[in-house]
Amino acid sequence: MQPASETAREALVAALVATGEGDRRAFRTFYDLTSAKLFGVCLRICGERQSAEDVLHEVYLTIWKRAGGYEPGRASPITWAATIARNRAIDWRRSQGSARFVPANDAIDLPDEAPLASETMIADEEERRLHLCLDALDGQQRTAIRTAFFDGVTYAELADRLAVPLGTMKSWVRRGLARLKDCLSGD
Amino acid sequence: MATEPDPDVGAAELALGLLDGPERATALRRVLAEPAFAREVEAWRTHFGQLFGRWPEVAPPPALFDRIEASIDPPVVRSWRWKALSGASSLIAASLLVALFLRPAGPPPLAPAPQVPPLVASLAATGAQKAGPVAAVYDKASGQIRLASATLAPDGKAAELWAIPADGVPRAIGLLSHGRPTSLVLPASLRAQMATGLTLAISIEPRGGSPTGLPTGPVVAAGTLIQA
Repeated sequence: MQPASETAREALVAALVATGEGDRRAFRTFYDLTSAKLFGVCLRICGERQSAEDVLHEVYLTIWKRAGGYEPGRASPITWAATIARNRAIDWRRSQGSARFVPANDAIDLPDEAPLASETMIADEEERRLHLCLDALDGQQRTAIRTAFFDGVTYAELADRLAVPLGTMKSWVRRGLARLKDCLSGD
Repeated sequence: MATEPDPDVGAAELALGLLDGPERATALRRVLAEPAFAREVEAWRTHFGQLFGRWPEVAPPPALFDRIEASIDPPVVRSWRWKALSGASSLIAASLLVALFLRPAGPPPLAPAPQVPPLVASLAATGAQKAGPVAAVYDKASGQIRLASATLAPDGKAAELWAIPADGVPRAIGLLSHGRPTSLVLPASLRAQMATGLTLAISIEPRGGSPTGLPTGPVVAAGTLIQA
């Protein structure tokens, strides 16, 4: 998502709402505007191309069926759609057996972990706040929460990957999430 | 070891997907039972959703859209196999109709299979809503569940039926008709789980049903399947 200009977002909302009314051209437009982001999500979490394509296929079928339920006042269309993609990809990966995850060659790299909020162009206030609050966490907490989000892993997998006992991992993350919650609800 | 108990951040853990097994089941049960918790999960999804902006984009293969479009719109007649299938499904539909009409009048005319008594549930209102209990009948032979007429969802929303088997994870069954009896056919994967003790619940969702595959709105009615 580039610095989201209002008009780009409005175009996306219009395409999604029209998709909900059964408009195929709008569905195509929505696909063109969102599929690279959603494929990035599926590919990262599934770890290989063929499965990521299958999951993406299912994701857009879900979008086609559920677009009528999208409420423009709530999440942005891209967040709404990417959440569906992330959940589907996680379901797929977990159905393959929980210990399976190996970041495959196909998996894509994430941007490095530079402080997030200091970047110049974060237009959206909510987004800015989330990044500021994440930046305020301890490094370990931030890494664990970021990994959980971008890799779609459970506590057990997270503990495994970062080579930390499960109980310790849960404690870090829970304390991190509690701090994040305070920070997000504060002014 | 921690000196004080970990804070309760179950809503955030569920939204991130950190939980599995019994912990996940417990959190999903809370989504159903506690509207405030369900709203919190939704709020966390939106917060974390801001991070999607950072997710690197990768173009999918160009042919994928055509495959997707083909699967939302199967051509009317594709092959003999398609015709045979649709013929078979109209036959099934016809026999269901016959069964529905004949059942109250007495035993089915051919009585080919031993009668399997249906499972039934009375879904009582769980919240402040005044909705009366909704009766549900599940027929194992056909995999079909029927619910009495109910008006549960406010305008612009939908009432969605969920099955919650022993693992505590809600599975979507389908949307209820507004002010009319509802009849839904369960997916094969769910039929094996339909047994005495299983919980049925109805939640209020956006039009078109829950976008996440899990209940997001308040649960307005719930009940347990018992043998009729």
